[in-house]
Amino acid sequence: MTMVAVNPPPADQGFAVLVDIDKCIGCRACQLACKDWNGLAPVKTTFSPTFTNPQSFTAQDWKVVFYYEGTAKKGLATPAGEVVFEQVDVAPLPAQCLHCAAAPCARACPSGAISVTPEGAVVINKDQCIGCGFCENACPYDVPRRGSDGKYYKCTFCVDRIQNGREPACAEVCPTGVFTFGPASQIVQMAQSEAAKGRTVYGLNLNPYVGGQVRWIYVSSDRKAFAIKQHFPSDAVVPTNEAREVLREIVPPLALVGAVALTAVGFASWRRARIEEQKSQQKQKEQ
Amino acid sequence: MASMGYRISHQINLVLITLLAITGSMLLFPGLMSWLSYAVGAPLAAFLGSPYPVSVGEELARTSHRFLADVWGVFLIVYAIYLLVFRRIHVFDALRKPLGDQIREARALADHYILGKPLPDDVASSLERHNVLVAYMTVVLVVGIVLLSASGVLMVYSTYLGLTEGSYRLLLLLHDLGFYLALLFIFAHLFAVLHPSNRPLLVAMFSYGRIPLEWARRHMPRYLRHVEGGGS
Repeated sequence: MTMVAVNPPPADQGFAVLVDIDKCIGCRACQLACKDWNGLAPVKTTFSPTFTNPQSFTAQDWKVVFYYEGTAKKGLATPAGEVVFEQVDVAPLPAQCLHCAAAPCARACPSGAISVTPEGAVVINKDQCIGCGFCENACPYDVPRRGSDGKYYKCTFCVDRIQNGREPACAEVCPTGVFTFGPASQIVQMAQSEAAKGRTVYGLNLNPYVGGQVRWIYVSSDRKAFAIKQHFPSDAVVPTNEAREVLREIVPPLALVGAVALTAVGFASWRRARIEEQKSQQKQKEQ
Repeated sequence: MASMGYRISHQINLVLITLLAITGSMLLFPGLMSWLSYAVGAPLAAFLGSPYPVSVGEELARTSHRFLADVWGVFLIVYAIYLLVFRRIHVFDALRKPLGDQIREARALADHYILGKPLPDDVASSLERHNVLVAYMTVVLVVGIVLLSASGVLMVYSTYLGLTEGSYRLLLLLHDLGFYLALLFIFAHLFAVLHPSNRPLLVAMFSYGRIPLEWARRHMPRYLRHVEGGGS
C-alpha cells in the first residue's frame, strides 16, 4: 500500500442523495444553506442572461442552482379532447459535486489530499492540497475550483453532519423536499424504480471512469429532462485524463521489463566481450 | 574529440534531466513515488510543523520541477543556438543515406549490439559519427523535448494566456507523452553508452573527451574520413 492510496467504499455502501428536480422551485435555499453551514464568504455576482448566480461553482460556492431553458410537451384538456403543444420552460437544477463512486479527482491527486470517507464523501483536505489542479483536470463535471489561497475547494457532502447523524445542510433546508438522503443501497433502488416508471435518471450506469455511478442521482419527468441533458455530459469521462491513466498503468511495468531486458542483453555482451578478450590474451601467451 | 563545452553541456543536461524526471515522476506516479515525497518532505514538514510530509514533498517537487524546467529551457535555447550557429549538428548525418541503406544499417547494428554479430564490411565502413539508430533516437528525443517544453510553458502561463480547461487537459496529456518519449530515448541511450563495445565513449565523456583513433576508425569511419579530409 502506498501513502497516497484511495480506497473508496463500494457504491452500494455509504450514503447517497436522490435529487428530484421536478420538485425544485429554484428558491436557492440549498445554495444559501451550503454557504452558511460551511462558512463560505459571499462573492460579487454579475448579471447574465440566466438566473444562475454565480455563473458556476467557485471556491466559495460549492452548491449552485443552475437554470436551464428548454421546450417541454404539455397537454391541455379541452372539450374537443386533449391538445398537446410545446412550451418554453425554465428548470432549476441544484448542482454540487456528485461524489463519484470511484472519484477520478482522488485518483489524480498527487499529494493524497483527496480522500473518500466510509460514508462515500469525496473530501479535499486543504492542508494537504498543493494547488496543482490535477483534480480540476480530472473531473468530468468541472467541480473543484481554485481559491485565492491557491488551494482547491468543493462540496464535502457535509460529511461532518453525516458523521453526526444529520443530513447535508442543503437537503435539510429544502422546503419542497427535492433531496432524499439515505443509505446508498436504498437511494439506488429508488432511482431504479423511478427509471422503471419512465422518468429520466442521471447517475446510474455511467462510465467506469467515475466508477459507473455517482452518489447524487438526479431524476426528472420529461417536462424538465432538458435541464439534466444540458447540465451533465452525456459521457462522464475526461478522455485525455483517461488516456493518461491508462498510460500511467502501462508504462511502469513496461519500463521495468525493458530495463531488465536491456540489462540482461548488456550483461551478456559484456560477458561475451570478456571471454573473447581472455581467449585473445591466451593466444598471445601461447605465441 | 569531444570539446570541453560539449562535455559540460552534457553534464548540465544529465543533472537537469535527471532532476526533472525525478520531480516529474513524483507528480505523475504519486503512488509509486510517495516514499520519495515522504523522504524529501519530512525534514521541511518537521520544520514547518506540518503533519503531512508527503504533501510537503509533492509541493517541493512541483515547485522545483517548474524552476528546473526554466533553467533547462534557457540552457537548451543557448545550446541550440550554439549548435546551429557553429554548425555542430552531426547527429542527423546518417539520415542522409538512402532509406534502404538506413534499414540495413539499423538491422546490422541491432544484430551487433544485441546478438554480438560482427558488422558487415560495407555497413562498418559507412558509419557516420552517430549511427542511424542514434539519429532516429535523437529524432524521438527532439519530439519529446518539443512536446515537454511547449506544453510545460503553455501550462505554466495558461491563466495569462486564457487557455480553456480542455486545452489544459490536452497539454497535460502531451506533457506526459513527451516524458515517455524522452524516457524511451534515455533507455536506449543508457543501453548504448553502457554497452562494452562503446566503453571508450563513456570514458571520454567523463574524462578528457578523447577516444582511441583505432576505436574511431571502427565506429565512425565515414566521419573520420570527412575530418581527415579537412571537414569540421
